[in-house]
Amino acid sequence: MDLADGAFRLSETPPAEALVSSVRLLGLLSPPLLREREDSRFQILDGFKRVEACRLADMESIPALILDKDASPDFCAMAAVAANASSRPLTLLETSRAIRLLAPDKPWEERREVIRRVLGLEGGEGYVQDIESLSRLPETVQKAVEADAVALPVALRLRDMEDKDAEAVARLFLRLPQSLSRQRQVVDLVAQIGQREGLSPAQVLEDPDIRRAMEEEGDRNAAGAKVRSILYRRRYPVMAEETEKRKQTLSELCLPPRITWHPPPHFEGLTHSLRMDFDSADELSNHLDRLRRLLDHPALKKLLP
Amino acid sequence: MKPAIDKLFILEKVRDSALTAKVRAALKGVPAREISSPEAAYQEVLTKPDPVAAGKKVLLITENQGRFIKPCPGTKHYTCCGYHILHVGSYCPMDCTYCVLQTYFHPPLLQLFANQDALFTELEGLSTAWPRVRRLGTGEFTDSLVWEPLWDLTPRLVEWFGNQDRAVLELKTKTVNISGLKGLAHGGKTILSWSVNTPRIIREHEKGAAPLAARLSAAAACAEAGYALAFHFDPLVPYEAAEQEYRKVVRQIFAAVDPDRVAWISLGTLRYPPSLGEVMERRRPGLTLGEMIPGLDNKMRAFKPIRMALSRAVAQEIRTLAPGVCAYFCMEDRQVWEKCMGFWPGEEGLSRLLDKSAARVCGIRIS
Ligand code: SF4
Repeated sequence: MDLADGAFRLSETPPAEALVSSVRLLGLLSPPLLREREDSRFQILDGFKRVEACRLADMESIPALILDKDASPDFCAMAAVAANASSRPLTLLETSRAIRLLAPDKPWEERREVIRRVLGLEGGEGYVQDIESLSRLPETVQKAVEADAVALPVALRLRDMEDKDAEAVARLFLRLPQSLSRQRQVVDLVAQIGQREGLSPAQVLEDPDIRRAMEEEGDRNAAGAKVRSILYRRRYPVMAEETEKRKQTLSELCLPPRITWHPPPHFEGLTHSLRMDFDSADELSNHLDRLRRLLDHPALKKLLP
Repeated sequence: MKPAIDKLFILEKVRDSALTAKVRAALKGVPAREISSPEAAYQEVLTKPDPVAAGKKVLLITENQGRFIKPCPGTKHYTCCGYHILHVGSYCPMDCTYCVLQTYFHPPLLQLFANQDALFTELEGLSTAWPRVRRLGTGEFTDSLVWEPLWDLTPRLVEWFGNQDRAVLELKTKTVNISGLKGLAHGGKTILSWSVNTPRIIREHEKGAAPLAARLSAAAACAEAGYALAFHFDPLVPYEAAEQEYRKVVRQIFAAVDPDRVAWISLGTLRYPPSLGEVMERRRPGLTLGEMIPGLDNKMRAFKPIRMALSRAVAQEIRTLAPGVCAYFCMEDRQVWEKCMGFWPGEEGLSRLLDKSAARVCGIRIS
């Protein structure tokens, strides 16, 4: 058997320890699906993990289902995908590899039908091509997709980048996992900073402060927020500075709890608003006194010039 | 320079119009097709991979089915100047990155309206239908002078306005197509206005438009011919050397023309609806990479402190060199007015301010 032949491999993960010990204890319960190649060696279509588990368990011979020697490559691919898809839900990357195997040379209409019947996947050509493209992404990005550190829409954005750039972004998300909206925010910021400064995304992420945040041990969420803040300040330096100043001014007002000040969003427009929460007439009266006293506060002049 | 048209469509209805004859003569050699409905022209543009660019080469001679006179679409959050548009044609063969017309017309397609008599009929009713309208212009839905090689509407308009004294015509352009304006009986009621920008922005983002020096020479020639002038710093684009470079443009303007001939100068920082932002990024990236925020009108605008700093610098330079010239903001709020101009004309005040300036420079009656 040619263990190095991964033409039909959908999953890169090694067999779990539990599978190896079950093989040791009970032998192989579900035989793999093989095909005899022209050179008379066997090629695995389905059961890569099981075969590997048997090898680790030092089994010298195993039972197997063997397809006819003259089964067409398309038939073998369908058999390999169907065997995988019927035994467990496929991950996004496994689905991507499966699509690549299915009728790659057939016209779209024919191919769509094969994909629908074998994989149970419905969708337009664009959608299927998007999923298919995932398994062509650089290895680190694939790893990040597999680990759920890079969501599909973001993976598709990384597809449009140079490999080394996509890998740099994927490494960041593998190290500091973030929600989809934050992944998007980071990718936007990195791309825009790159465009503004004439740098590649990988060069943007070489920022020493970002590297330090990535290497820090401890709270990964906080480190992720730090990276976003570094990127934001670099992309919007004036806005970041003015927002910081306004925060400082607002804190000078020393508003009591349950009174909150809402300046115009993005500094646009002139209308500020205040929110007061109170449970009693006394509390309301205290709030109003406090607000009246605010009118003379120097910080108010800065906020309402 | 003649617009580079690849295909001409003529609506059957206007096949025998004077405009059709002129355009056909001017575009000899350009494939022309008569069509019974505009659909074929629309499809010619919409089926192209980049309709925005394709539409700049396809011209449809048609009719204006709506009104020719329209109020300029300002929004309530920012102070509007009360301008009125003369809708004589749509879209533009020049190609400015930030041009709002790219997403304003669906599909983006060059159109000239052949029913020009209806335009003059509407103008005749101006004093009754639009009693308060004092400023009208053809340069909002297309460039006012880019069509000069193809038609003679501009001289007709100039002479119509020259014959009355209650409103001015503003011709706003980035071209230098002024030869047809010489010798017209304009009566001082036409304002020739140029959108101006720094050489860097013109070079990178105003494809097909005349260079700054040529615009200013054309302005000087028009002043010489007795026309009033105006300039529009729109869009002011913030970038590293922007303040110095825009100040220099102001100095170049007043080195070329006498401030007394200038009816107004407008300032408007870069702003665009998000849908236009996408088109800009796709077609010529760069301008959207400033510190832009969504404004109250949902258009993206430069962050207020940034646009105030740039506007203040330009306003200051204008005040220093031409203290008597009416400088105003296009769509800005009270705070920006007060910080940069030192006053706010109020919601209705800007319109009055400009009317007064038109009265002073062009001699219209505004009582
Ligand atoms: S000249 Fe004016 S109308 Fe023409 S493309 Fe430029 S901005 Fe648009």
